Amino acid sequence: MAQIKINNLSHSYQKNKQILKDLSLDIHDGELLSILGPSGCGKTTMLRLISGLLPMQEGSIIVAGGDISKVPVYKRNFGMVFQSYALFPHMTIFQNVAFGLKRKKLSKSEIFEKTLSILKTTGLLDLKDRMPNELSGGQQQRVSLARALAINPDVLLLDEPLSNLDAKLRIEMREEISRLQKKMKMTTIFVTHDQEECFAISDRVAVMNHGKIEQLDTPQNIFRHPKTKFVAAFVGYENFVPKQWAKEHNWRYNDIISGSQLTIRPEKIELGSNENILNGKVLVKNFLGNNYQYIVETELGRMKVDTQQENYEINDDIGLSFSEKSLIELEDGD
Amino acid sequence: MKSKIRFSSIVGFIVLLLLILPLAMVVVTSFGTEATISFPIKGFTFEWYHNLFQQPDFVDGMKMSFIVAIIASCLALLVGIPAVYALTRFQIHRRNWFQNIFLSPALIPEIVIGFALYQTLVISFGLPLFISLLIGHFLLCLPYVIRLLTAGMLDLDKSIEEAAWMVGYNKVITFFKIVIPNIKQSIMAAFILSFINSFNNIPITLFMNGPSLNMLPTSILNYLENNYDPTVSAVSVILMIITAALMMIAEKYLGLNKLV
Ligand SMILES: Nc1ncnc2c1ncn2[C@@H]1O[C@H](COP(=O)(O)OP(=O)(O)O)[C@@H](O)[C@H]1O
Ligand SMILES: [Mg+2]
Repeated sequence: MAQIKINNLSHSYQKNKQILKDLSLDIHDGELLSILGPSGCGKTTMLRLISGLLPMQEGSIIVAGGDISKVPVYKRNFGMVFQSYALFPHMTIFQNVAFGLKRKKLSKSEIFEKTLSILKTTGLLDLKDRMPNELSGGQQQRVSLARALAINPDVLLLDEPLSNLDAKLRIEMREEISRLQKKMKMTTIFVTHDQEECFAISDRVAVMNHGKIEQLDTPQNIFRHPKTKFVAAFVGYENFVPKQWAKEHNWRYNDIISGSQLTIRPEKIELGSNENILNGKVLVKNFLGNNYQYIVETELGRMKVDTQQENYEINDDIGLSFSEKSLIELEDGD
Repeated sequence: MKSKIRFSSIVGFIVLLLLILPLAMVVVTSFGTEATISFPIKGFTFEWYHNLFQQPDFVDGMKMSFIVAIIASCLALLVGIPAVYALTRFQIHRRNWFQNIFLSPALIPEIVIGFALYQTLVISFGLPLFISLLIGHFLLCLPYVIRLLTAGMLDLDKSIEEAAWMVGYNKVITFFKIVIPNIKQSIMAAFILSFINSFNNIPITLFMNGPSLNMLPTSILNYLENNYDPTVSAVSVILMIITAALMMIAEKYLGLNKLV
């Protein structure tokens, strides 16, 4: 039962350089919410404020109805998984996981049982007597997760937990996180700069830029209806068109939002059909495996096109077309 | 390339000779039967080692040097460990300034430290010799402790401590349960180096030395003024053995290249 309300959170490390700006965010009980944003936008700062590792300057954080702003980190009962794993080097895996339980008022046998059970759930039973430096990166991160979960935290915080793992392990591990989170129904904040990673496991995603949340929504809605140019660019919309230009050239689009830009994904554009909407010349052709990517110079600037068509070459003059439904209206950011 | 290798091995050989030969000489003379130190020796005896332990000066000096080295090293650790923790973990105004203060005793000639301490502590403030001597040796040990522990602390990932806080341990308990066990090799090495330096120190010790306070290096010098027999060689051998043994332990804990 831990709903989190973050109210008007601001933070600066140095004078006149605000990292978080009046940030507010509600996280539902039991949901997995991702904070998605580029490196340096303030994700870690926000997570450290929530965890209590960083003292709060402005704003408040309410967890399950209580203000925790003044509660010291070691009394919050939050779990944290660090990017660098941060296992205790002088303890076995078993001791690492049991460490937090020893702080609770439990008997020796209860600690033993609970530790074994969490080791079992996380698939670490065979490794329990090893030392951290005898484990691979993926195994270490698993231990780090087990250690955080062992104290049965009210909130689980993960700061780019997968970024040090290779591609295959990353997918395996994110599924593990998702599985355990659902099983334990734990309110979870997952910080990442990887769009695919967070879309795969999140209930909702908060896209963050320069210390502010630009959009908070389900992965589907963020993918289909990005609100601002920043969000659109971050989730793979590569082409931007001024609304004014579209209007002058009689493009049809929904005219609901007051913003000045439209955007379209590269895979929504077709090449060389009869009803060309835009003409251009091929600048670059790249083979991407599933498809080709063409960069086409047009009067709107460079447009990226992802397509199966392979019979165009550099310097070919071609026409671009797309359905009007694919044009997404954007709000103007600030 | 080849000539460079040859050159450095020749230099290395010369240095080794310069170092080893005199030491070997001392070892050999300590077993000589002659009444004065001479080389080569005419016969073989343990008499001088026996004599050594009959001299109250040497025995008491060794005891006292041992006690002073232990106390001074412990004091340096007691002050040094919290100081280094603060210097490496907290946002401290003028961090470098503090760091330099802690390291400064290493930059001042020891004989000057000895003289200055003698003047102020013993003459002006009238502190007992033993206390003044401890302060001197504490100052001598502090830079070693600071340097070795700083290296150890910088190697320790800060998020390990944070992980302990997150699972319910306050900062003090975390310091003892997480930080100390993970820098214990640095602590051990710092202790050993401090001990060796205090135990072998002459310049500071010379000043804070009196009829009531008899330290090993000064008793050797005193003895030499009146006698020139192999007892001095014997005591040197024992000092060498103690130092070498301690260095070997320190080397095992941390690696010699990190120590100097
Ligand atoms: N301890 C610190 N002192 C000063 N500036 C910091 C500190 N930590 C982070 N910053 C700055 O704050 C900004 C946000 O950092 P961070 O929260 O780590 O971003 P993210 O996790 O999104 O990459 C960055 O510009 C970074 O340089
Ligand atoms: Mg970060």
